Amino acid sequence: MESHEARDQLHEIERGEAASWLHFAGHERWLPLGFGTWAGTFVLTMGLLDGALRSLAMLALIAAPLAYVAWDRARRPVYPQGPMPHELRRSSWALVVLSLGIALLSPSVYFAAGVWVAAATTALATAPAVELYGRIYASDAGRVRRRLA
Amino acid sequence: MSRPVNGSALDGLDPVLNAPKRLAIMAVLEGSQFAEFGFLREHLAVSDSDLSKQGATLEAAGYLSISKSGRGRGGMTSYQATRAGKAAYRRHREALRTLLS
Repeated sequence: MESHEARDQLHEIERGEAASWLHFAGHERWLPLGFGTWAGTFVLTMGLLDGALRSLAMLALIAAPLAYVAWDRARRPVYPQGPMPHELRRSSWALVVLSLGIALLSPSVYFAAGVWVAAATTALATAPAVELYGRIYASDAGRVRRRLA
Repeated sequence: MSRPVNGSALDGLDPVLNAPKRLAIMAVLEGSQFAEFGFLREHLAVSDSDLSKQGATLEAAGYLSISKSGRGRGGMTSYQATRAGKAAYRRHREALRTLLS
């Protein structure tokens, strides 16, 4: 085998292993609104309900994102696993930072202004955070595509 | 400038995966839980029959499993790497890296 053949094969390997992650770029238009509504409902459930009703509502709130993941997996022609291309790590960090930001913001507003304001603030913060994460991911996916072109 | 490579790393190269299209299929499956026929055809830019042929070779080698759901035009054919397929693919990838190091 010649070295250029080995190099070509490794390039094809990188392109193939990145394919499912690149397919993942972009999300439905309703997703930020959906996640925002979910987050706002979560805060309302925590703040307004108690006892068995709260437990039931929490179960439903936990089931909702799991159902979304199952639906998303079933409709896609490919689903990623394993290590992602290194360019996409930035979007993973963005997701962590945005999630932490909302997790800190929500209880702060709750204690300062009450449950309804906290729910609205959480919903209004989550929706653009999801949109921003999607845009960062799409931008990073573009960098991967250019590298592997 | 290309140079010939040699050494024991060549032993790690898998003859089944030396074909670029088969290697590309396994590379997609390495990064995926599964991949559908249409996705692979588009990624590899090959015809239906070519992809079927390469897939059948990999299936015969025990490197992937093919599952079909539904019938006719709406039916889906899905590919998934087997444990043996992933192991062979990783050996091949490692051998290529060793060759170039």
